Amino acid sequence: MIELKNVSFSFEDGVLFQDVSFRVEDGQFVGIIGANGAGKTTLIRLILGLIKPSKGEVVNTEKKIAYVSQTTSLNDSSFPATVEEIVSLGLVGAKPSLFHWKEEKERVNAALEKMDILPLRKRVVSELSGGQLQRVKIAKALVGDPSLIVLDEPDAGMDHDSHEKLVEGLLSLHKDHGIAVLFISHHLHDLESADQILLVKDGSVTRYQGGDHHVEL
Amino acid sequence: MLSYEFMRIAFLVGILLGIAIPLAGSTVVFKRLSSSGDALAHSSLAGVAIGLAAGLNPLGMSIVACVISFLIIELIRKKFAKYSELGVAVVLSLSVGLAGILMNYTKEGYLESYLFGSILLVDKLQLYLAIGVTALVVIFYFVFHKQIFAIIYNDSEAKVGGVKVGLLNFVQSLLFSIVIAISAKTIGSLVVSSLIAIPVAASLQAKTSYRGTLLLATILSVVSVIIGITIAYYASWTPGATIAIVAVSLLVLMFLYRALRDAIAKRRSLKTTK
Repeated sequence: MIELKNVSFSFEDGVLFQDVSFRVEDGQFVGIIGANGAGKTTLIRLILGLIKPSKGEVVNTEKKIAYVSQTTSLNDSSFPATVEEIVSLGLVGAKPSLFHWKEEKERVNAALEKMDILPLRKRVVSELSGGQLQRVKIAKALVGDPSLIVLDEPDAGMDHDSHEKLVEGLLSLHKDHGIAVLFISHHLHDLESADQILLVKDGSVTRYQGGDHHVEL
Repeated sequence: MLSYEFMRIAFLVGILLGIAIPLAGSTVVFKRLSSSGDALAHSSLAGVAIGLAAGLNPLGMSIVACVISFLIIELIRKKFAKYSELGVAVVLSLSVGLAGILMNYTKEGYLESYLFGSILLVDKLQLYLAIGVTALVVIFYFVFHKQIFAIIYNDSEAKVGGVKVGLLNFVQSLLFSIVIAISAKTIGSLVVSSLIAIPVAASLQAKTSYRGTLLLATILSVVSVIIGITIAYYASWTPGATIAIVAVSLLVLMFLYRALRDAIAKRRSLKTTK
């Protein structure tokens, strides 16, 4: 469960959020929507504890969170890494683990299989298509068995088909594996089946039910 | 050549730093911040100049200057996110300015020896320091290479996963600063920046894994040092400068290798299409 209690957040040049409160229950599928520059990524960073609120409190009881950021080294076409190296990063924590390579390999292969990209495991990431790279990013998030996956515009740079497949994949992760999903999307129709929609607009966050057609960006 | 003890020590120190420099500097190259490595190398020269002019230990002052410069670059990067390269320019200008002015207060020719280094005049203390710092760098990268790779990939994702990003960044920068400071005396502060970026840039042409790239960068760096010192010995050239030229030549060879590999791959795919 994640709860924001009367959270305010300001930058040097002004207030971004004023007195925001909402709650995301365990296992929910939640979409965050809003215009460019409305503060969707900042809201996610507050939820993840990457930045501290100026006022209020963020309560987070999730056991294990995986974050899929919009910009990673995968945006760099010369970045040297194989698919399995990237996915194994999802298992990296505070302590070094040097001698569990066999168990790690099995978990990485299982995550790759879940995302249907096992044959790509030895491929260098610079040779992959946009859709394949998104699958790699989500496999990296899945490999650590998270209770919540937070995705910042996972569909950026994708064509229509890849986008549809991605949303279907996220929904099936939620339904079949009980993983809570919190993701930023620009498309309201992605959120038809969402448990709730958070609209970020004019410094506040408004809650709607999934499929509610009264949401106005 | 190897019958002289000073040559054996030169090769040993060169190989050790040839391993430590690309390993410790790889993160800045992968994050596309190679210019900050260059700025740190110049700041080590300013540190030496301060040490010589003030009668303090030049090596110690060089390490302090590198750490302070790193902090300045990071501070400016955070304060002026849109002008992140500003910190590099500030540190470079400050370092060159300080070194240039303080040169007037040091023994003639002494500071200049730090520009291209003096690997043939390495004493026992520098040898032990090179052994110590290389051992530290290799152990640190062996133990924490996954965490470091996670930070390079995306530091926010690493932080959410539990990686101590701030602490690891600080330790990495400290090690990097010490490596640069020790290298300044031996292979030269101007030359050290070529061993930070060029072996990694050359190994990127192989388009292989992260681990493979790091390993290849280390091998290319060591090969540059060995060939560089050997040519310098027989041609009576400056060893540091020769190492830099060899490193660039290896980079050109790697570019050619990649062009050839890409051309063969293209030809094969055309044949398959036909």
